Amino acid sequence: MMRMQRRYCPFPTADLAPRLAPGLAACLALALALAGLSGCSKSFLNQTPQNTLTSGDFKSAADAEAAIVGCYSLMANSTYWYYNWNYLIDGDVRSDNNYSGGSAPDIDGVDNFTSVATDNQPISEDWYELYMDIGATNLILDDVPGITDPALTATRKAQILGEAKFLRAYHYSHLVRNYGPVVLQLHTITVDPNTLKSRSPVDSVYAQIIQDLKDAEAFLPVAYSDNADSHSRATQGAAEAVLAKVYAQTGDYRDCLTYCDKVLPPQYGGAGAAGYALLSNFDWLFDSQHKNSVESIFELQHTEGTPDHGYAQGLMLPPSVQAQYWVKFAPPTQDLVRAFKTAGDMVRYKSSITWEYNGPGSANPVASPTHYASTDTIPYVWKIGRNWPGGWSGGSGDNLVLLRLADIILLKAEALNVLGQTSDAIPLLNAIRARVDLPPTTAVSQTDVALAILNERRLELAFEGERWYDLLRFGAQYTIDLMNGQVDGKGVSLGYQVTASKLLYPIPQNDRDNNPNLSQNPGY
Amino acid sequence: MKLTAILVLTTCLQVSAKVYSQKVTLSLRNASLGKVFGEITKQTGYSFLYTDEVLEGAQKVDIKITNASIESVLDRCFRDQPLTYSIVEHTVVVQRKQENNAPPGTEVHGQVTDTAGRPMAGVTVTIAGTRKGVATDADGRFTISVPEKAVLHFSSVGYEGVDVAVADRAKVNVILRPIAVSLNDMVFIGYGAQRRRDITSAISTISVTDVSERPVVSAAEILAGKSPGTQILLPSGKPGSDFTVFVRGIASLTGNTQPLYVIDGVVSYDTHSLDPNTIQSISILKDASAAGIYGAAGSTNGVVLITTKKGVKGRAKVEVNAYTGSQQITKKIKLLNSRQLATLLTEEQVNSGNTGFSIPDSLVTANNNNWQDLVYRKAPMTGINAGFSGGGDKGTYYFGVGYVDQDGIAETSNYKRYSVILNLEQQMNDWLGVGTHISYNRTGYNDVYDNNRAQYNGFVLSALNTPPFSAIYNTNGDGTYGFSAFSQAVPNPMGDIYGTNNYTIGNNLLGDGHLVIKLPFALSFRSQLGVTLENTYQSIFQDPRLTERAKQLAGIGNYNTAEGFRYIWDNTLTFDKQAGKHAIDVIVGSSASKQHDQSSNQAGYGFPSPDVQVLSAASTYTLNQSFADAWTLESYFGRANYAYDGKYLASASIRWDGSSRLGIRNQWANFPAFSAGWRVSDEDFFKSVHFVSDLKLRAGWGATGNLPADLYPSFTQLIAGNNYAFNDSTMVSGTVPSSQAGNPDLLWEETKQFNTGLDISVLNNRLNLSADFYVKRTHDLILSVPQPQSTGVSTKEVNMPGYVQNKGFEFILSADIFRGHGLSWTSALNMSFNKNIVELPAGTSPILTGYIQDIGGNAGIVKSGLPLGSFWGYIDDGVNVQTGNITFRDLNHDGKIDPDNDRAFIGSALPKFTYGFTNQLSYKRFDLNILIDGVYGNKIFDATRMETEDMTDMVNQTTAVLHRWKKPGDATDMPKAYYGSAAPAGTVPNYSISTRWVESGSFLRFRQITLDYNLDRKWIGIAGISGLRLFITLQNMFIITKYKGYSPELNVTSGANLATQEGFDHGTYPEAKSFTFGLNVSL
Repeated sequence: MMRMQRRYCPFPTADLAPRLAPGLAACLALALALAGLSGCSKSFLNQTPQNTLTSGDFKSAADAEAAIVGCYSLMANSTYWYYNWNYLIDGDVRSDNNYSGGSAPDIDGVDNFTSVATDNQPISEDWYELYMDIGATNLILDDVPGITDPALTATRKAQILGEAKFLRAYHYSHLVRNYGPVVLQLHTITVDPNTLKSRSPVDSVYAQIIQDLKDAEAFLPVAYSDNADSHSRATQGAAEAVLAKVYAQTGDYRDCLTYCDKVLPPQYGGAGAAGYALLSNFDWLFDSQHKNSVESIFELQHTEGTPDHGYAQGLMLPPSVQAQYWVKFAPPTQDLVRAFKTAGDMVRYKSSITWEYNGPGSANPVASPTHYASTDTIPYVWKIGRNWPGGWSGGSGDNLVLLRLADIILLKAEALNVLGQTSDAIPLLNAIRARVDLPPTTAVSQTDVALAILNERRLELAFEGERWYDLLRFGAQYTIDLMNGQVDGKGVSLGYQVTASKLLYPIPQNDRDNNPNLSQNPGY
Repeated sequence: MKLTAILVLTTCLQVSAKVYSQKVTLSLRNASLGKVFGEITKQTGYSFLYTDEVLEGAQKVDIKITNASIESVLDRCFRDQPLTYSIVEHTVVVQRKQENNAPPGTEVHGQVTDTAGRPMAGVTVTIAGTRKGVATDADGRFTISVPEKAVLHFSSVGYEGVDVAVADRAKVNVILRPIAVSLNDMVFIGYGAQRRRDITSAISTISVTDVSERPVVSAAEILAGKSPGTQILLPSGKPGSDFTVFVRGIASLTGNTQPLYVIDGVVSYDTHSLDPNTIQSISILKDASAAGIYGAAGSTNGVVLITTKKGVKGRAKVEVNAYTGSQQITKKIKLLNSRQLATLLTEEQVNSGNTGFSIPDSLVTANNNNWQDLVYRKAPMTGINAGFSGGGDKGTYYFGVGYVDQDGIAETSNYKRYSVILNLEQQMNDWLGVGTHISYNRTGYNDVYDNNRAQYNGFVLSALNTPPFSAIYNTNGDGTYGFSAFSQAVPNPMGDIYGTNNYTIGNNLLGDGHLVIKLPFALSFRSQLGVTLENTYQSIFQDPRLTERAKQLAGIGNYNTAEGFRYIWDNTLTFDKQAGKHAIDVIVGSSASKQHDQSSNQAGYGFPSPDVQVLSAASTYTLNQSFADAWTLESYFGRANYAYDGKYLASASIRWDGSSRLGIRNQWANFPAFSAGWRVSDEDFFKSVHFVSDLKLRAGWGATGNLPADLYPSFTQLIAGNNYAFNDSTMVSGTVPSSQAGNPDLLWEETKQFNTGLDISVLNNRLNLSADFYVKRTHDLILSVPQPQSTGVSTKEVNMPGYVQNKGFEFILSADIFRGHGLSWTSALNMSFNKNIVELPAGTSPILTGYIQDIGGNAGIVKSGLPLGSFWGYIDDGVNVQTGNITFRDLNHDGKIDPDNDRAFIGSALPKFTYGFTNQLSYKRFDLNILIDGVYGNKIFDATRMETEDMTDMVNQTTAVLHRWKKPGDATDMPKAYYGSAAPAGTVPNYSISTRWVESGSFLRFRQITLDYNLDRKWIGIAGISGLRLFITLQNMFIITKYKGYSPELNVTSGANLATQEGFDHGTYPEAKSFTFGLNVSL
């Protein structure tokens, strides 16, 4: 048998190291050289999204403008519920103004206080969406100051920051009055990665709101060059109006008065320069023909035909207007109807409520909401979205007036009365009554005037998300007693079970799952 | 080039894989021939074959020569020597001058061919017992003088040796058969090749010699049933659809689960650009020590290395393959006829309290359509491809063209592909070689819509659900198709299929240009620039003449375009040296790649004429958008392989990867890997164990990575399109933060894998076993996790603590079972056992997956302690004899059935094991190949059956409902018919997600049976034809399964979400079986 041998390598083993070394050394040298060759500069790995801007990367004036537009757009976008409808659930359905209606057990829970679960849908939406709105403003406050684009003038930059601060404070003012202590998130999570914050005390939250609003007041113009913007964008007057409302909610009526006067024109004893005035016709506020009027301090813009806008209002409109055959939501209460009738307030009654029979044999039969019989003619909310474009998925172009002069006039009256200047309060109350053809109030004593103002606000601002907070300012126990005393059209108790702890909403459990440092309100 | 040469007898010819160069520069004084040969080997890669005796008496040489051809150098060296040489392939055979020729005898000639009848060049033909021999020429022919009673021995690398007694014959023709596993085969290992005997990691190689023997449309199909540890699934029976490939289980929850493909060195994430007929070889790198060199680009899921055909020096060669065949649905589901359905529907209504319901007899007798018969067809498929290859001393070429035209078994569906490939290699001079590989194809694809409910136009479910008494055409006579049972807006399956023309054109290009520079010190530098380009243009038109909905809108059109372009630039430096018993090869390199994607979508309606289908004709536009993305990957890597005496083997690699797709603070990561092997059979103490011809033990550990699914997880994006009109007139554009927060700290998903295995060959290599055990754990799983809402965002991609583990055992056993009397039988069995488990930290909420449209619930779950692909639902304890309702198991014994407490793990979509069994039988000119594959132990959630057996809607059902519960006392497993969704208090409806819909997915399938006939050359010797083979292939002809649907392999999901959506059947395009006839011609 022959022996096979391979002779590739004649080198003796002893020579191995010196002979391999040059090769290995060259490998290393070239590897290093290659590092600079096919490996490229640091920017090679820094690929940023091309379809979107990114947080922390604002460069131009346009970036800043687009971001602030987004803050307003989020509020009007009916993908989100808060500023389309939920603010009305919180302010009116929860109060004695509206029933829940519809077919949503979670809204029923808010209405009748019987069982408010910690996963209640609208309460969870409020929390999530207001913080999302706040997140959009935090982005501006973090990123806009660093923009060096000369196209962004110092004035405009300050205005944008003012708009963001106004909006942030406005959102927090809604949060704090519904949830009590809340998390103060003042930066994007890119800037402040601590996501597991505890709730801050109510005082701290209000201090932050007031600070933001005062900054906004300093940064914002009285009016914009395009006057229409002066009602749709945050202005100095809007910041001052919210300051007045926030001070009132904290019980600081002296500061409330100061800020009411900054908003009000001289005829109401103020020094406001924005030229706000009451519209001569109350219905013009809601007829969509007088958008961004002189009475409007801050108004959410809706555009007809934009599917994202005004969807939620369709859930409350009568079937003849919005033809979806389900039980409509948030019908006005018999108690509110009585209030209008008792006051003889036909002007505001007709602007606020429309009646329609949808029982058997009607053109648009739908099941009747709770507390109404199928044979009843049903009252429907008529203040918002009434110019429905047709179909059921469209979206009304009617704007939502979030802040208006009448609110501040009545707030000043409230402040004066609380501060003992009852006689100064009465003319303001009467100014509001005069517009809707009502005689001057007969109330004289401080207590009676207080009740008269509370009722005036109820009729003036029904379905504008204010009633519940008006009641709370009037007194917690008053609110509890009033709500537990509610009766239906036949005088039968509605069986509400309001307790002190139910004056605040629960913190949504799913967010407590996300953040173990989030405490729950008592009673939940 | 004449290749005939006299050889020394060899039993084992070992060829080292090198880059072969033709130029030699030598400057030696007084050097032994051995030393000269060593130097030439170093420079050219040519090896020398000789014995010590031959060199005895040879003179030392002085030589100084620059850039000379190897022949001229050898001529100089051999000038005054008593020796001659010849070159066979890349081996220089040295022998003594013929001073002692064998006594003259008979001259014998003949030809050596392979099993396919192709001539084999360079086969060694020796006279047994002597040192005399010749090699065959390019036509496989040889001539040799033999003494009386001589026995000729034929041998060639990679083929079984054959001894043939000459007897009195003047002509001896021999067929050589390939050896199933040859230890000396070169195996591609990523940025290089290694002899199989030296491999220390888990690598499977696929013999692709049979690719041309059957109609293969997609590259991944070649892998099916052939490789242990690799599960190949065809998730849809649509023509031209992509395969799903899992290497060693599923290792990521949200990231990629598919292997990385590397085609001729170019990293690719699919094989769209490749005509499988041009594939030469495939290696699958399974463990971390093999795949680690590809680092984080997705090598966690294994790496599939594909090498395409190259030209070979020598004679020009032409190969043509053509086939044609017919496909049809593997089975049809038995459905109720009109009368049976009418009875059922009435019963549904009566049971739910609507006693006044009935279906008029006139309707029942009007039609009895079996929609499956109308929708499915016998579909032809045809393919042809031709390859032209060859080469000279300095260069090789391969040029191929191909064409496939495959009709789908559903009407109108069709796939066409035109492909071309060009591979060139050229040696420019001694030190510079250049080459290119360009593969292009254009595809055309007519799609039909599946994987959806009938009312959402899914034709498969529509064909099952549409009542047989429904009419094909609308009764108003306008020519539009009639309706499905659900709505006047949804057409019947005929309308689904014919009413929409959904055509996609694809252009796929994969190519590279490379250069190789030989450097001093055994170094070689290679630079390769590869590109992939994929374009698609999809045009969808709903014809107003054919469906009611399209008629209302006067035609609906969509147009979608997408382009993906990627370049990848690799630079590598290799060092390859053998010194005595030491062999070392080292590679270092860098790689940079960037991908650009862009896409656009347009839609409109209102066409003046249905014959003008371009969107510019539409009157109203509803969609107009475009997008662009880009991402990058930058890498540095190195690997060293070391062997001592062929016995002690070690390999180490490291890769350092950075990508734009990670958190910007954590873009870089290291992926090291090590492995070692011990060839026990080469130890002296083992030499006495004769029946074991080879035994190697291997072990390795390493880390690999996986990219996140998201391209920009680092950033909080600001979504455009949130516009607003401040003064109630002019819209201005706005942006809002997306609900997903950026995570600049996001890390790669990292998989650490331990692998150990052994390779053993016994009984003179007739039985080979390769087995591996592995534990593969993926950490830093990327999940989208809810964020505290006070942050203003909802989710963030984070690296979860915990892991997904795949633990498994796999083996392939190949056997040379029988040979002799013209018959041979070889067989290989591979099996893969894999156990998957998800371990997440306590308190992690389960992730519900597998959304079931039918009832709006989830049937899948990702939960700690369970495997991926788990199903979650109630347990069906049978039908109550009295009520006809299903008794679901009350797991917490609280007297009611509720989703929070009574749902449980009800099966896993992942098989306990998968297997493949190949058999190759040859008898004379016939070859028979049988491929059997299967899976065992997996479950399928049959959401299709939920729609065809739940008896809750006004739709057709299968004949299984005929034995439904009808009256108290009926004992059956089929509950009562009930229209709607009501359930008795404290329980849930009969159709709820439960074990009722979970079925065994085990199957054994005769995937492919091919019979070949190789024509005798004497019949075809005209016109220069050197080989002609005819074949018949049957695919998917038999399957053994209990599964009730069309096919146990179909799956509603492919591509994304594979990890969490496995094993759902919901109206997927059925699988086909096929019969194909074809021929291969070689010139």
